Amino acid sequence: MDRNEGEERLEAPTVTMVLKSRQATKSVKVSLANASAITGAVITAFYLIIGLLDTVFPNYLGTSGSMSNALTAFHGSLSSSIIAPLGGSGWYILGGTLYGLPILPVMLAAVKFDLAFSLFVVIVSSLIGLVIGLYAGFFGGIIDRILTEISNFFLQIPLIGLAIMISYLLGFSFFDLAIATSIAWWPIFAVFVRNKARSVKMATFVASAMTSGDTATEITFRHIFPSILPDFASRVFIELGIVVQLIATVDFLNLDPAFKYMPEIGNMMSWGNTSVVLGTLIWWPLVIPGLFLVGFTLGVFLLGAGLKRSIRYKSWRYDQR
Amino acid sequence: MKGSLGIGKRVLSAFIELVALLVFLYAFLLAAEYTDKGAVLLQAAGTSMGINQNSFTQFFYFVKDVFTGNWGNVSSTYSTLGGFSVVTVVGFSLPLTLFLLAISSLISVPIVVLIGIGYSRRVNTTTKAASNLYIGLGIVFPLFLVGAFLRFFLYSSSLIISAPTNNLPYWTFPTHIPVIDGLIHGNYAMASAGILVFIIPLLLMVFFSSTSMLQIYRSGILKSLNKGYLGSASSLGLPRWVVVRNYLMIKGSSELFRYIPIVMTSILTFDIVVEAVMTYRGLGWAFYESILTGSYFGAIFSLFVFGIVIIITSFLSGIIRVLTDPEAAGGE
Repeated sequence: MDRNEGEERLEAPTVTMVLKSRQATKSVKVSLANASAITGAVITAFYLIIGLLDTVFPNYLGTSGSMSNALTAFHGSLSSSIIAPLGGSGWYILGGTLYGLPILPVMLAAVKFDLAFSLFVVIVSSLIGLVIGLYAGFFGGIIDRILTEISNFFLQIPLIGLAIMISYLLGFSFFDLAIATSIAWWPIFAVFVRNKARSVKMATFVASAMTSGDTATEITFRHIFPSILPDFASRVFIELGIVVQLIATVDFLNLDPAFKYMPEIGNMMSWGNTSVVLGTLIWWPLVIPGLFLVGFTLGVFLLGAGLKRSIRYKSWRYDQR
Repeated sequence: MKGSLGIGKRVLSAFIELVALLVFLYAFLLAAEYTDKGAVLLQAAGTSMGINQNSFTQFFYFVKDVFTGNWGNVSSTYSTLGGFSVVTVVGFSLPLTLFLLAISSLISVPIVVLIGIGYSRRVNTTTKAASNLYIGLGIVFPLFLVGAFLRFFLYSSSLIISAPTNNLPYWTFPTHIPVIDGLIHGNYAMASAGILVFIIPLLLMVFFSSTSMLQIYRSGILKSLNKGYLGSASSLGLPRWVVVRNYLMIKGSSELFRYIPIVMTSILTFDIVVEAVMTYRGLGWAFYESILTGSYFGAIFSLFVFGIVIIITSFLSGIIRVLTDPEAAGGE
């Protein structure tokens, strides 16, 4: 009896310590999740500010007109006298391309184009994918079958091939490629949302909502959507980075003539790559814009991953109450 | 074996997908007719493709042409095979792509399984962190960027790996794959040159395909960690490795087979980029070259062949999934 009492006296503080240690571990995890989200948010905000700067102060990069016009004029003549409108020697802090074009101002101007393109594609395709995926996942049966087959059909063709072919037909412009990429991209969101919605549909709160007479739209958007929001938000951010990579790839490969003289990261790397092909080994026009692109992708990836864990933690904490 | 693996249903589904693909490509042709570029190209293709008929007749002409191999010609400005028929171009380039995909899959799948097993434990481990880092690198670094860096270092170093543009000729027989043809004919110089040109595209494909597959494999394992039968298996005293082998690896693979259209679309997108960046003259390169040279038929039929590859892979993976995953078989 004494022994048992002794054990109880010993166990109580041990359990408390274990609980405290678990709470501490949980706190550390949450902080780390937030740290990831915060780091991602800071990096993403940095790129957003650069993009907005170009919009608010169009001439801050030293060009008299738009950067696209300056680049067209520069590449059209390949004359060093055209460099002057692109700014003074200070802009060459990160070096220049084979033909003497400064990297820094073009790279900063590229952020606006890349962000505008990827935000358009991700917003349009995620909204289409969300609606189709939610309805397919909720209704199931023949509606699910038809919507899934349509999504699968678009996934039969490699994304870059589909986007380029649609853009080829539309006439190859910045907006055409954005529309074409949105058409190619929505099935990724639709399949993702549909599978998440199907698993959430089994939850008791959805059954309760159904028995209480909520309409399909109410159930999908009021009950199912909030449950899949953390995963969906994370996916949207990750895809934002991937779409930026896609546009850079298309430009790097010179697949879209409309982008030939646009200030775009892939284009800049393509100019850097030209120097490699020509046998002049200057690494900076290739490496610096490349790392700048990786920075943005890393930012949105960290933000997406961090947000997902943060939102999940909040819902866990809510469940504990 | 319920429903004989649902083969009938899968055949029907594959047939519908094939018809949809044909309609889609036909719509591309119709749409091209209304563009300046398309009008010239289609006029050049002549009436053999039924361009001067009504839409339904044109579609049947189109289907007939697709299955009889009348795919038009590529532009004369297309690199080595300029002016050849699209079928010839596909015939020479497809084996190289299939070879690259097959070898890269053979290497990537064990990598995916080995790294994926790291997720079978609930606790956070260093292995799990390393696996997450591996996936993260695959997402954050664009493929063309890594390819371009590699090109840069190949040009600037004295590595024995061949420069990417130093490709081998198309005209090797019987497989059109220099590595294999060289070995068949005892031409070891060609075989070794073929290997050197093949290494970098292979490494790129292995890394990016494995990170793409690993995301889905990991998801399958993580989902099944909460299943009741895993707890039962462990409480029955089954060793950890048996649980991993008999349950978790199967669930991971099943998830991979379930999402095979997405996986294949990603892998073939990687393939197009790798071939274009590294000048590896497979089907991805054929598509890229067709776009650059304005060879409309070359571009759409390259996509058609890619579509067929995805349809066949989806069909086979559906059957394999039912055979290997009892839960999927029950669901069918």
